[in-house]
Amino acid sequence: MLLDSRSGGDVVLVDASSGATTTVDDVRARAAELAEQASALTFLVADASVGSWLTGLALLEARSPFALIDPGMGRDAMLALVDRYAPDRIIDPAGVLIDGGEWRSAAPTTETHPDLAVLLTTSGTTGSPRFVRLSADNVAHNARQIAEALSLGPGDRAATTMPLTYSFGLSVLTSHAVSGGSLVVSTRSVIEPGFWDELARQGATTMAGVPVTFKMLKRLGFADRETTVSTLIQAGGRLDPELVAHFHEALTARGGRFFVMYGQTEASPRMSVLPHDLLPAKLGSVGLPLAGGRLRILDAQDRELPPMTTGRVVYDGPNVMMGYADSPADLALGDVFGDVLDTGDEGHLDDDGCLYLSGRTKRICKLSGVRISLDEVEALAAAIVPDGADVAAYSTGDDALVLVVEGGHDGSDEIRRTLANRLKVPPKLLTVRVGEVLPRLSNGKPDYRTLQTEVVG
Amino acid sequence: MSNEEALKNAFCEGLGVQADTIDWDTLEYRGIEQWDSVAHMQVVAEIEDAFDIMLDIDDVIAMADFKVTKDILGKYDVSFA
Repeated sequence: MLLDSRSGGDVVLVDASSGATTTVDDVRARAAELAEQASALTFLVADASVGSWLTGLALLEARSPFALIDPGMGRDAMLALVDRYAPDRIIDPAGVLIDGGEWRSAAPTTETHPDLAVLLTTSGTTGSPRFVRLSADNVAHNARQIAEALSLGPGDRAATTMPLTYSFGLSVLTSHAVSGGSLVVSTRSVIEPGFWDELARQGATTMAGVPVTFKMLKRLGFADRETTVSTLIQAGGRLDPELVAHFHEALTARGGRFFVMYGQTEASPRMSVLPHDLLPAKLGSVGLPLAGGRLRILDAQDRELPPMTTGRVVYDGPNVMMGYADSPADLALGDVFGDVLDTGDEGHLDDDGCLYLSGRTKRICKLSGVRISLDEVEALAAAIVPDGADVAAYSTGDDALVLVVEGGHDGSDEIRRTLANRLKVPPKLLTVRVGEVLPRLSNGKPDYRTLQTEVVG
Repeated sequence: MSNEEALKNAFCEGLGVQADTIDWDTLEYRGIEQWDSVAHMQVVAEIEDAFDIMLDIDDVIAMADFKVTKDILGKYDVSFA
């Protein structure tokens, strides 16, 4: 579906360490193999290996619906998901769950809608993670929209700095696959000397990252580094405008490009891109809607607001997901979103249609590029703090989560560490305050507005 | 606090772990779940704060385990004798 216009010998994936290539023909062969034994639902436990990327792409080509499972969620959580959704095929290149890497049931047990292509997990800090249901059309549309906005072509070769199980990583794969480009599949990270050698050897042109990646790249002296990388793509939350300007200058100096993008898994995932040439004029903006998409700003009564007025950000486009799945029965559902996504973000459009984000209407916090529900954080924290103390979680920005624990307890360090561990985020992103009295509303709920505006000493 | 203690402290803060849960002789990048690339940069920042130094980029990416880190810090006149 993404490779239809490409010739068989085209390279799609390059193994960063060995240089071994995977061609369009290889993907088609794997897709034919997977399609032969039709599956109602496949779980792909995707690690950083070539095998995972190849299988993900082949499942898309085979039109075989699959859930992308992050091995980092742990064996117990994975087994619980298997139990709940009863996939009839599990492909596990790393052998985390399945010895030998592949397992099939005798007969399909879970019914899936014919349009369904990919299931991605959203924040699931408590209980069972919620899936985002993407159709084949959602994925293909967004791949083409991104390829167009970034003018991707056969010369573009992106390093796999974002995992396949993360919607951003999946979109790097699909947008390059559809436009003739390729990926350099590396299992290393930017802080390993070998990573930069691999990129140079395989001629990687592009890297994708979330805000924390760019903080690292700056500290690692990317601006002065000799490298083949000339395109940087940023998404996954607000990047400090100072860093945006820094990377825009660095890339301009070497004739490259820097793109700021905005999206959510629910939009397959990209909604807007700020073209390189609009910087530094539009510093702080996340750019223009992708082709075929539209951004609207609405007030509380759903009335559309004029430019320069702040309100709820709503996106319309063919890449908006079919819907969520909270149970196996939901997998049989068709599209329930009608191409409209209420993002839960707040912002305004300028007179040129560029979007500036300013906050969130929903209780969501972004940590290391991943959206986490603050209510789920509270539920998780409530189980950690001693003596059933009341807790309130709020956020003062991306990568800044505050948990207030009421009462005279000690051990804020212990709580912070345990919570960070459960959320799988660095403890440095969390602040835990104990022994305070929570401001409350008349209905007894925490007064988040007051908490948020308090000057934290 | 000795330099050894200060360094261990920097690692604990950066990685979000407790000292008594760590085997310092074998501690290495990706050797424990907590030491990923993000935590690595935090360890670097903690070390720079603790010893009031600025690590070279090559040293930042060479800091692959606890022992190597001690060797690297020697270049910055931080000794662990």
